[in-house]
Amino acid sequence: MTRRRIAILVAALSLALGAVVAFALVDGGSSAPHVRAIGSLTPPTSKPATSATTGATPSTAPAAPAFPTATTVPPARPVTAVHLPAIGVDAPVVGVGVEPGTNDVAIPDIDHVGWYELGPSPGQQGSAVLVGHVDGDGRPGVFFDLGKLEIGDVVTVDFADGGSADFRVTGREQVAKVALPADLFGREGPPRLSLITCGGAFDSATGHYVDNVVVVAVPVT
Amino acid sequence: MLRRLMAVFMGVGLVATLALSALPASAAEGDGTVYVVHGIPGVTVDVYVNGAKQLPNFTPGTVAGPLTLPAGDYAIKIFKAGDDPNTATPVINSSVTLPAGANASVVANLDASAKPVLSTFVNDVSAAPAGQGRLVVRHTAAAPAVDVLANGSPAFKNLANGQQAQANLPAGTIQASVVAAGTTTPVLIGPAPVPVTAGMATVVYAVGAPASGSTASTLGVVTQQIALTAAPMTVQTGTSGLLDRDSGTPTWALAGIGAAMLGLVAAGGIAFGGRRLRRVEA
Repeated sequence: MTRRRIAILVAALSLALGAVVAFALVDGGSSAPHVRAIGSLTPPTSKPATSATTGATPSTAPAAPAFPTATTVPPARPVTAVHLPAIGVDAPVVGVGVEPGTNDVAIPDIDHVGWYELGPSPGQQGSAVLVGHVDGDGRPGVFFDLGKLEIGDVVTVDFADGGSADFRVTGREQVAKVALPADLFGREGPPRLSLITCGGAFDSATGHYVDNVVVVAVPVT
Repeated sequence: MLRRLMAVFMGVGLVATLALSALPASAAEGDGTVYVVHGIPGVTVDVYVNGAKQLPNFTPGTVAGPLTLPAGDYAIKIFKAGDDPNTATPVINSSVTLPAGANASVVANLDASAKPVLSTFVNDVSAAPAGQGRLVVRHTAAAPAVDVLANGSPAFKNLANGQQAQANLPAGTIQASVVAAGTTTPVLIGPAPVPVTAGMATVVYAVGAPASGSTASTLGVVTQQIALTAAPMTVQTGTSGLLDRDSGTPTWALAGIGAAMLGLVAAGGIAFGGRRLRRVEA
């Protein structure tokens, strides 16, 4: 094989390599990690007890008394710790609210998980929220591996009253921060636990990630 | 870049679709949400809706619901518990119009002249600012206009029977009391602790009638809480970019271009070297 042939071969191979890499980039091959969505962030709603009369026209006499008794919000049950054995997390939990005058959830330091105490407690009706840093100060935060939780993984929370409760992961998704579903903070719907951290591409201009990684778990019954 | 932008937009659209599809599947479009509030002291009742007994032994001070119902008119008859609806005289014989998509509370209460009536209030369940709840006060007592004091100061003024007032407040507990409009004493109701819960409307009904002759006062409150639409929130939980070290610098692109250029240089070097060699050979 002549040197010219070798040169042509090397040039062709390198162009091909460059083209493959460039194609991967253009084809959406972002360098930012993307957490694959599994399951659903919205657990199936059990049919309300009132459904017996749903759909009945006003002129049709409903069959049976079907009014549930409305209740007021039960007292908050503060959370003190969260355990995620699948990713080796045993972390202390503190109550957090909002940064004054904003819609930003207040986030504790990177070794603590925050329980959004302006929403439900885990196990109560609606979505209880735990937030934790993926990183900060140049080192991994308490929820660095949150995106590795899989369907069925156990989440255990400890309460200040000495009790604890187990949840099982039913969904995981990476969503744009600008489109974080509001009902993750809602008080309606079945009891569920939503764990939230950051993910996706890092915007060095703002110093923030552009996405959130959300894992939803439901009570183990 | 264009594709990445498109992917972002499609992602946003998908999330929006998911959010919409998260609405209760059982509620047909236009169905309303209804609560029933018993605000007449001293009488346990059976509530009939369109002729069917819907709420047996409904006790004063309780709230039933929510019930999802199609919009429209409903005939409501309320009898003393156990009375035969075919022969007895109803305590209330009325009808209620449920607007499409409305969240409403239907209240059995006394009007200003102490006559039992049905009052329908539409509940404002729009989102409150993050971390706040909504306090709603409804005058459904047989009393003249009142002021509502919060922690001793007038919060809602000159509320007449059948009227309501509301405010968004930071989560917490307020001491509420009710006085005749324009006064601070005597206190007609309370003071009583009222919870303001973030993401919830706390609806307080003033009910009953003041003392009259030998009849003691039955004034009091009934409270219900209704979930508000959740406020959009932001969660900022990373500042170091450890998950995404390559972002911001197109390392992959550089690597690709670099690999191509290195290859070309190497190829060129080999080719030039070959020529030189050939020259020497020549």
